[in-house]
Amino acid sequence: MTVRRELSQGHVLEFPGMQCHVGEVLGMGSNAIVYKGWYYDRLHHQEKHHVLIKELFPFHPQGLIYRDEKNHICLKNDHASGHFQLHRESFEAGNRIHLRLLENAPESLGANFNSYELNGTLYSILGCSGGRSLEEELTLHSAGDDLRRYAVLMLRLLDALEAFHENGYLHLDISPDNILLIGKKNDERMLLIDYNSARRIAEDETLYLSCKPGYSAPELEMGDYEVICAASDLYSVTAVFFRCIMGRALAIEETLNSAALDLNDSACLCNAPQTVQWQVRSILRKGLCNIVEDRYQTIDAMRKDLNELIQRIDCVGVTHWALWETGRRSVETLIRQNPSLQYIKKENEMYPIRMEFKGKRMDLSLFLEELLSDKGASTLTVSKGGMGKTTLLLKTVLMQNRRYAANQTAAFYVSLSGWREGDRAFIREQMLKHLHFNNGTTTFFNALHELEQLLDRKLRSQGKEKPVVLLLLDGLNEAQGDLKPLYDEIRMLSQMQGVRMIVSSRSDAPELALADSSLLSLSSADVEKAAAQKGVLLPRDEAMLELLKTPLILSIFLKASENCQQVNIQSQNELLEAYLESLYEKEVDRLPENAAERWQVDVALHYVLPAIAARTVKTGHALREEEMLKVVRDCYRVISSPYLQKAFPQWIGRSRDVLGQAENAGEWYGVMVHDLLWQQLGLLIRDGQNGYRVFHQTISEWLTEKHQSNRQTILKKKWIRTMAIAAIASFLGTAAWFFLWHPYIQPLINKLQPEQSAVMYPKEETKELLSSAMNRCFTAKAVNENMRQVLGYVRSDPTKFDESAASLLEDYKDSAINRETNAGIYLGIFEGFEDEERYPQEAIMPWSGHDYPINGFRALALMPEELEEKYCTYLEVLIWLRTKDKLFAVYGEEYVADFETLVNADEQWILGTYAWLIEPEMTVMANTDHEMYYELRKYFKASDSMKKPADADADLIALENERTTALKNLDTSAVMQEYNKCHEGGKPQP
Amino acid sequence: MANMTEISRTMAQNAFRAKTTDEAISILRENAQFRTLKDILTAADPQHDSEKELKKRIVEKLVLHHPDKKQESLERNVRNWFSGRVRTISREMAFELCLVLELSLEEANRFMMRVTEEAIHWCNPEEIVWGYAIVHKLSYEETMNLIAETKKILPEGSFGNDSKNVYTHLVRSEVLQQLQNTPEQLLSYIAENKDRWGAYHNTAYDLFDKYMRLLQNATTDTGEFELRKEQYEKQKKRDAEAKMDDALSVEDILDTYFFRKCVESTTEMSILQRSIRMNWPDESTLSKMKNRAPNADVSRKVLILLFLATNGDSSEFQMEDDEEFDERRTRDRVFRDLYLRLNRMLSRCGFQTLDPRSPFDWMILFCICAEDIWETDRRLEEVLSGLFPVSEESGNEIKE
Repeated sequence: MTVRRELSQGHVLEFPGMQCHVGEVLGMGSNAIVYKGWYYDRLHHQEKHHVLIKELFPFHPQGLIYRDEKNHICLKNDHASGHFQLHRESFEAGNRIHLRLLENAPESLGANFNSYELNGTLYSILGCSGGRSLEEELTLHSAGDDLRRYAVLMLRLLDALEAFHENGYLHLDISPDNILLIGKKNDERMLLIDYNSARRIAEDETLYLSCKPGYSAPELEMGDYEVICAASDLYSVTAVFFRCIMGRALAIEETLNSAALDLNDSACLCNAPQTVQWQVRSILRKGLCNIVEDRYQTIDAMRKDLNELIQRIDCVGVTHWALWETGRRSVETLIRQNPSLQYIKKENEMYPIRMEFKGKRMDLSLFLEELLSDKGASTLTVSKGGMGKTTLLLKTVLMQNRRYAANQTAAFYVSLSGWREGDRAFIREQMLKHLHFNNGTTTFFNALHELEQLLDRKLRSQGKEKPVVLLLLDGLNEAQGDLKPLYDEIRMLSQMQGVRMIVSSRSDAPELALADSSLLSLSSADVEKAAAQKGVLLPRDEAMLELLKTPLILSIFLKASENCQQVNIQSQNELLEAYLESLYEKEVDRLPENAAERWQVDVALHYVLPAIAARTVKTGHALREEEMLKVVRDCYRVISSPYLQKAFPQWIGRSRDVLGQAENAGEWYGVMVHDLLWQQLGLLIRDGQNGYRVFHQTISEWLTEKHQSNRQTILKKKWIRTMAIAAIASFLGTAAWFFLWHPYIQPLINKLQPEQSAVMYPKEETKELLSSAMNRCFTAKAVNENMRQVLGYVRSDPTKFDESAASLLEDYKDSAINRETNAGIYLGIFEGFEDEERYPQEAIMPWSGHDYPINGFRALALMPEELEEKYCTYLEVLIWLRTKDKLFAVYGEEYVADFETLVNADEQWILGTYAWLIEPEMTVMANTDHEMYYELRKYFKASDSMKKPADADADLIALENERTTALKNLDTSAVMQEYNKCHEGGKPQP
Repeated sequence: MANMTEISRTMAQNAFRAKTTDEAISILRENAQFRTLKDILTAADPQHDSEKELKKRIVEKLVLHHPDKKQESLERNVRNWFSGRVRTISREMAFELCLVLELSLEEANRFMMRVTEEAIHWCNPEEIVWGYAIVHKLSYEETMNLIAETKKILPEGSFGNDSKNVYTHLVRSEVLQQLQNTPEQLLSYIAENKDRWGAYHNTAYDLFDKYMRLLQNATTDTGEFELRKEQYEKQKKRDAEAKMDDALSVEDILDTYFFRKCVESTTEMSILQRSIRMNWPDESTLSKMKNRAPNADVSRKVLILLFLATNGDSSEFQMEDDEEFDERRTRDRVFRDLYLRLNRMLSRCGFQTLDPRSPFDWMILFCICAEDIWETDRRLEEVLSGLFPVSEESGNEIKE
């Protein structure tokens, strides 16, 4: 007999007091065979108790231990006896340990009902948990890509192992076939089985120890029993983790590696962020260390690292790795989304970056090394436009965040053009923006505090200290307004020991007290080399050659020359003009002669882009979508207006081509901005805050001049027409200002005035203004809704109408006395923003950047009372009409319909007012001033009911027109004429 | 250093304490504690006879085994073993001595490890038969007959090449069971499973192959191992294609990593020199090993030298902060890590772990007791140069 023969299925083991039926074999180990089995319940004879039967049957390589025909376990000789005895002692020891652990941690282990001696061997009756082994689970489902699940499984394995270690035992045979998974999903837990190798920690006596290649710690494999400890179990846990993520056990050569394992073949990790991959490698490296002392020594230590891995997978936490990841990702996204920035990733298209720092000239690598050294300090890099400040900063992020390591400074880029006056935590908010927070971080202030704690630490590497983060703040000169809060924040951050920063600007800022640095111009050799690469001749003019040492100018020069036309230029402006033309030529060259797109490109480059640039320069910040839309809508109107096209004869008869398939300004916006200027031509950049700006400030400034020129042309045409209209308008009623003064004359006058740089209204005061405005809106809406409701009863429930209409009319009359006062109060608030003593300088709204729409706010101040007054009149008429059966029969339906039209028009007017005056502020405020936003929302929760007007393109004027028309229809209706006739002199007439 | 005898422990401590290569060379030359054949034979004898009795017993048995040989010749051989004039014996002789000493299988395995640095190889049919003979205490003649029968079933060269995926540790337990059968059953088993047999250590070969490829494809800047994933994939592809025209040659590897020039020998060598130089790989040996030529199994010495050359790393992958991780380690930790991994490798391949009482192994112990892998290299080169000095006039090695 050389092969171990198992008990046959159906065999009955006659234990004292219990008959156990043997089922199928579950497993055969070196020490025992485990069967499924059952015994019948004493009380309910037909019911079975399902159990596991573990039979001591040691494997002998020479088959000296065997089962005879009577199922007895036999030993062939003394050697076999010795072998059997060793395994018996191990079996019994394992059993005892199991029972002791069950006393202290019953929830962590399977049941152990009893043990018996029979057939010359030992049997243990164990609980059947219904679980499946981890080995089975991994084999059936192969190595999936659910890294998170594996990390959670390892935590559960540690929980199961904790029962052993806490009670002073080591398991020493952890492998996937000795781990049971019970339950599913969130209820899933793990049990460790097979305790034959288990022993007390620091036990001297060594019985049988299982050694499994790929799972057993080196000290078990090499028989170095003195050093066996908790770390030996943790080695095996790490090996199981490896098995999960790689789909196979550790290979021999992998256990011999001195350093990190190659995990590139893991399906789990191939798409995982670098920070996650690093953490996995770190856990494996530590857990599988050959030297015991270098491994995880406790379950808690390994648990901590696994929890951090899960956080990294979930992207949760205010941590160094999270900053590294978001810093890298935000720049990658920025570059990927913006064709104009993609040159930064192409080494062969980059010009050399040279710096001057602390009186020395150096390349970028050395500059960063100096900056991040022990003796390094934050710096302000001052250089003129076009020298490559943004390139420097973005390139730094790519270099610094190329490969993650826990001891390397993370780089984080922030464009300061998004800063709004009064913002005290802009930079920190940008850092927190893309992070997710764990359960402990419930408020913005908590997150801020965690961030500051992180930034106040240092990293240690090779005995030296390094900052945690390198902040790259771009474009200090682009921040507008009172910069004190921004400077305060920069100073505060620069003083934190974990922060080093590079701030770029066109001008000096001594208040920041940062070390000076600057970008150096390209050398003549650099310029010659770049030109030679493109096959372009350089201009002979020395001044131009000098100009070409500015990277932006050189780049534009070479791009302009790309169509094999040598560019002959004498100035920067000529170069920029040539550049724009070359872009145009390049785009239209590939289009058929009569393609509509040619005209679209023309208009985009020569009209829309300058308008956008001018707006950007005026506001001093990147434009949000709604701001962009406003600019483009203005352009759309010009292009759509036949008479204004006369200002641009080259586009006469081409408006259809220019507008293309777009049916309104919104659709045209998509073509002009998204398709052409941003994606195709790469002339716009969309930043991390979803704001748009021209790809370089120098170009913006030049385009602003082009915009001025376009405007002058239009104004000349407009002036003539406006004067003619104004003459006619002077004969119209008080509403004339609404149609003429507001859209044409007032803006015209404004534009003819010299432009001044705008300041922003103080946020607190604007918030109060908005609060009042919202109050007015909601009050007006309530008035409108009440009227609508009552009007609804006319057809459906006339009796109810009579009742409710009378009540409403009474309310209207009661409130009449206060109308003027109420309206006056709000009018005062809104007009206060025009008070030159309070705000001597022309100001703009702090969030949307719009001019203060005083007329809209004036109308809003009067809105609820005006509605009430009107409704009162028309309701009174309707009530009167209902008393006139014949009149009602003839004109009633028409009058009610006209009234409903008015109510609807009023609703749209209210919604439009909210959408145009209030919503732009709220949208921006939500991103920049959370607390203010939530405060306003708290009081005006019903702002959710403020939908957009039905006609998205209709502006306030159009809505007001609708309303006026509805009012006019009612005022001139037959019913009204009858009513007036009957109430001449203010008294009802028969 | 668990499970070491007192002498072994002392020798190991000497290796740690030696600060310079001169000290190490001095210990190698003068220390009498290195294990001799006599030590091994005496320790292995289950009857614990005196040296005289043991020699007598051995000679008597050898005479019985080899009636065709002269007794004086056999006696001289035995004397040489015990005098230290001969430090090694062939594997076949070692097996024969297992029969002579009537060792159990376990004792025989330990004996083989000590004498030939390699345990019984259970994938080799001839060694399976020796194992069978040891278990059943067959006579030498019976054993030879059985081996002859085996060779009829499996002529030399008819097995080995197809057994690349067969690993000893997987086959071992099954083979051991077969040792309980009759000789006919054993032969039948061998014949039925002829596809599985190989004379080679596949585990050792796998590691040999990986280390050789790594060395052959190493970049010139050995510090530049930080490869991006896409570059790493390209590197793997290059490894798989093994473009030899771009890679280091076998000669380069012998010169750079095996210090061939230090151990080139044309003159008579001392016992110590012979002991260290024995089985030192040359170009022909390495090529044969690479091609798995007959009688060219990967040797223990080659594996150790390759392991040191590569630091035991079978891939080029490194983490960004590996230096940082290593910086935290003390010199003692660096040594222990290398020692553990080296021993683990040897154990897995079925070879004897480092034995401080073997001159070559002691030299290796001294070399790895260094700050880092570069110092290990330096030490190895200096010790070899010191042990095999070249005279200025003749260019020949100087015998010690």
